[in-house]
Amino acid sequence: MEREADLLLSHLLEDLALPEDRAAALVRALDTPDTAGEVEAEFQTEMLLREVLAREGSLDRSRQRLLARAVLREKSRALRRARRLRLRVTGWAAAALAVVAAGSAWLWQVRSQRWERIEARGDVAVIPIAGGPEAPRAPQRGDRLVAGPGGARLRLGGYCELALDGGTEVVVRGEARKEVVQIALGRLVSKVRPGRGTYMVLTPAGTLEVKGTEFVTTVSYEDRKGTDMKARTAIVTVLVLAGVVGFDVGGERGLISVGGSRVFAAEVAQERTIPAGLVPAQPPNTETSPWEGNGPKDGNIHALAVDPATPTTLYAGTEGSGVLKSTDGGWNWTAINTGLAGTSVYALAVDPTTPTTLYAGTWHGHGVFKSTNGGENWRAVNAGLTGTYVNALAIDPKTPTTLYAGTWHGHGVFKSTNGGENWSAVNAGLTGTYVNALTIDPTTPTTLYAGTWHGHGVFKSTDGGENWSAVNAGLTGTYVNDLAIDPKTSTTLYAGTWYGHGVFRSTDGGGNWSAVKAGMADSYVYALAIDPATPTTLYAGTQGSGVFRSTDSGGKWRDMNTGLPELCVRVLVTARTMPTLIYAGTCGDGVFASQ
Amino acid sequence: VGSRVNGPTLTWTWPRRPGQKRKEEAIPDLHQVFRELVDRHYGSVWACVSVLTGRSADTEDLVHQAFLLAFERLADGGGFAGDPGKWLRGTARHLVFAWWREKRRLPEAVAGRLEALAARQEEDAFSRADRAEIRAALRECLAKLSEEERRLVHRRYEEDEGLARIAESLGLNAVTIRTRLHRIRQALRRCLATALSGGFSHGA
Repeated sequence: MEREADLLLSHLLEDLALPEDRAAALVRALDTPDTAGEVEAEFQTEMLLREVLAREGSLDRSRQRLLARAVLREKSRALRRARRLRLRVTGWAAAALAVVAAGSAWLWQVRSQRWERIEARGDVAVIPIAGGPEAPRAPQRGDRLVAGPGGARLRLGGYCELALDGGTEVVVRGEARKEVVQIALGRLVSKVRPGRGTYMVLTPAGTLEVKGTEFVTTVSYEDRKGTDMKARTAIVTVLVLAGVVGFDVGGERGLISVGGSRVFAAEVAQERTIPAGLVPAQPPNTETSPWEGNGPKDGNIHALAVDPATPTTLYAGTEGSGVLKSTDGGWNWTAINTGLAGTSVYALAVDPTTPTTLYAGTWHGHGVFKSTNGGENWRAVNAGLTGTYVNALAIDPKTPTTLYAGTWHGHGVFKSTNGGENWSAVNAGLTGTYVNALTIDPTTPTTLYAGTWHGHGVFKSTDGGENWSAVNAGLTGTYVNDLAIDPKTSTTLYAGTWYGHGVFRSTDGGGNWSAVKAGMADSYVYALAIDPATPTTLYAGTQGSGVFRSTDSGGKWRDMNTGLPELCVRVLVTARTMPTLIYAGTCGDGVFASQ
Repeated sequence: VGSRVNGPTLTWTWPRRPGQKRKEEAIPDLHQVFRELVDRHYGSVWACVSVLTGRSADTEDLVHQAFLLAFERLADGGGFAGDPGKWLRGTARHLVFAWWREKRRLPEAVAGRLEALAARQEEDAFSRADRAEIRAALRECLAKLSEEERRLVHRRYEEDEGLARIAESLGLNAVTIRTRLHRIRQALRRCLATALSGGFSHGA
């Protein structure tokens, strides 16, 4: 790890405040894949040590304290319920309640006048509304408020507590009991007491509305260099700490519950620091249907394969549950694991000419399994396969007995020419031997591409895997998770990469690559898929922002997440005989389909 | 249910969702369900949180907050869409980073990146089927450390002592202790990578 990053991280983890001037250096370091990988590994080792070495006695005492707190919590809930009930049934209590209500109403009226004011504490600069009294003075509704380096706190209407980080810019609009805050930049923590009034946050991407909750709103901008300098993309992040937040962004409405977070993106005019009003929301995406799915329950999906003849028959490779099969488009699932020793299935492939023949690539030393009866029975086919952590499988579309396996842990690519019965390593020139993806040129099947990890990028072979050469010109994202090839113009291919680099496109068979990620809020790409009938339409599955769709070969992306509850999407597949149908495998919520 | 052929075009309709209307189901014994949740996931949530807080008092409070949110959810008749452990670790992680931002005034750019890294390694660590194997291998690797190294690991991770306190008792400065621990962790990762056929983590 870079020494500076190491020092700064230690500084943080030892509970010391990070000097402001060092934050940028740490951000730069964390954006390099090597440092990020090292930090991940450090976190993982530390976590493992703490899990293994934690003293059971002290953990047990801590557990007991938690159980006691839960009992107290339950009692206080019961007391609150009982109190409400008593008040409801007792006459004198009802009368007292009426008196209290009348008093409260009076108090409410009196305090309302005070609640019209904005109470500000901390370091806040007031930029008065045009024509208003000059600063310095107390902030008023309509003023632009900019928090200084020390941050600021605002109290609105007696029920909204706002914490602004340094540099955050807001305008307080609305009125008493109908508070509205417009945020243009920075980070705002809103804590709203329930039952006092409404609270709305206007962001460049849309609105967030609550009645009682606590949540964080962050607005930042990504400049669109070289394309349209008059516009830029606003990134709005919402994290809910308590209660529920309703959002209305880009035509999409929904709720984010406690512990949840969402990232929204919208284009705004460059010259506006504070938008004069709401930026028009994006029109709703009506080009695709909402996602629908029904399991498999707790489905942590690593691989999907569609029967080429019957697009409603599909197979899912899972973490720990082996292979599951659905014959009704993902609505009902059945485990098909007879003979399948490896239950962590990372790759699946269906024979394009005999769809009852399929292959499963598994992890943890179990290698490849083959079924010749649609998954009813499996047998291991590992002769010669020394790399038994299989991440990718690819079948030659013209000679389906020829197939390739991409493996992890330094073993590279293996080839079989007899339907998996025997394998041999084909790694000449393949310096990246942690293979995540394999794709075959459908018109010239001796040409194939391997997407690798650990900074080695993409490799190409033009002789059926015998020899490989790196094809990485312009490919700045060299941790490749997935590859997709245009079925009609096979010199065009796409690479989905990790560590914030997004999607790359090559139009000359991997000779040169260019980044294509405009509009893609999440650049940690797990999966890619191409519409087989209209190959300019692409789909990308991301680590935390769901699925993005592009209809112009990656020129511009737009999210398509309506109905998708889990936004970590690890695998995407399209169906050759039904090109508008796409399946998404998620990191814990099963499989979803959209048409 | 399924496919039908309409002339030359293949079309397909979604089947009706079985049991569309979800009924609120009473929890037979809330505390029993919660106790099972705690027994099953306390260790993993604790490990995730303690890596990021470094102090047991703060760790316990944040872990308890996450579990009490789960308790409220269960008491309200709700459940967890997927793995409850994943929900708990995700909630705890959000709470930790909210705490970081609040207490340590961590800049958003740093917090966001670290949160993403933490989420990824958690997913990797807890979705692996060979966790028992990893733990056994780690114990073997710990046994190979020198006596002095083991003592340091014991004080830091079992006794949960801070770097400053360890350094003071040994007459050294905290940076030296941190460097030693960093080297020990690197050695453990190398040992794990060897023991597990080269497969431990991205950074190994």
